[in-house]
Amino acid sequence: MTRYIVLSLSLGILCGYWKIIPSFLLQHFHHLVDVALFVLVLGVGMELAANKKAFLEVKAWGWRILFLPFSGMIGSLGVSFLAAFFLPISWPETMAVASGFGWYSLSGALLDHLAGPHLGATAFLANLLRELLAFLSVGTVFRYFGSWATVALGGATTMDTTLGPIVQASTGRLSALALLSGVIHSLFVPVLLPFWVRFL
Amino acid sequence: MVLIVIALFLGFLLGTIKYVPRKIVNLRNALINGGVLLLVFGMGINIGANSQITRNLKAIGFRALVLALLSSLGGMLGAFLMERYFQKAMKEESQK
Repeated sequence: MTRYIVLSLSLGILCGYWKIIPSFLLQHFHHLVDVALFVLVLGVGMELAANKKAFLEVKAWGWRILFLPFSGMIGSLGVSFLAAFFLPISWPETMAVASGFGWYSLSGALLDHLAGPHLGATAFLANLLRELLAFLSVGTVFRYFGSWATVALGGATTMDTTLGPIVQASTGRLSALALLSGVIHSLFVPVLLPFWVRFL
Repeated sequence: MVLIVIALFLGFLLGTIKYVPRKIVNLRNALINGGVLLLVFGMGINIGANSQITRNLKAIGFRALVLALLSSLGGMLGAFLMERYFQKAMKEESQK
């Protein structure tokens, strides 16, 4: 699967760069993404129905599952802060980019609007790479670092795009945790990101 | 968001109703993988067609990669430690 992901991504980059796809088709491109997402989540829904492990997992943790997204967000922002020490980028900029939590379309567009195209493009690429990283390493992370790390890795993307791979890797066990964590991460993106911009 | 909820509900329904042929339900992994590949293809087009990125790749490529790595690792670390803490606390609780 990893091989196919890399292949599909490369193909997409080349198609985009060489403008192989005519612009009138590109205009309706977001429909394709919507369809992909729909198909993916449809599969996840079936998986949810197929086994009851997800409900047992939620029951086992109880109220504690709320701490999963918050510990993930704090860890994410805390470690990203270190980048300001060795990259030519200020700390509010690193925090703003990291506050995308993988939601590249929103964080890219927001920062493009609030802080200019340069930081916008950085946020877009950084968060896209985070989502890609999650796609590629979900299986390995689950095996060696356990449930919570796997869910937190995907940040805001675990409620839709990376939900499928997480469900597959955990054979359905983590679907509810991933959905919840992804939703909470996503809610904080439009709140946290503009907050850091004020310190720029 | 609405789309996701509908898809999730529909999938759950398909998986629950007994009259839906097993063949369809057994397709679920193929659906997930197909969706992922299509999404990644879309991500590729987004990168390739974004002139801000392709023109400034040298300047922003490296820092974007570092930021992606740090934020992923940080999220993992935070949640990992939190899970460990709860596991320990719950174990002690059950031993009392």
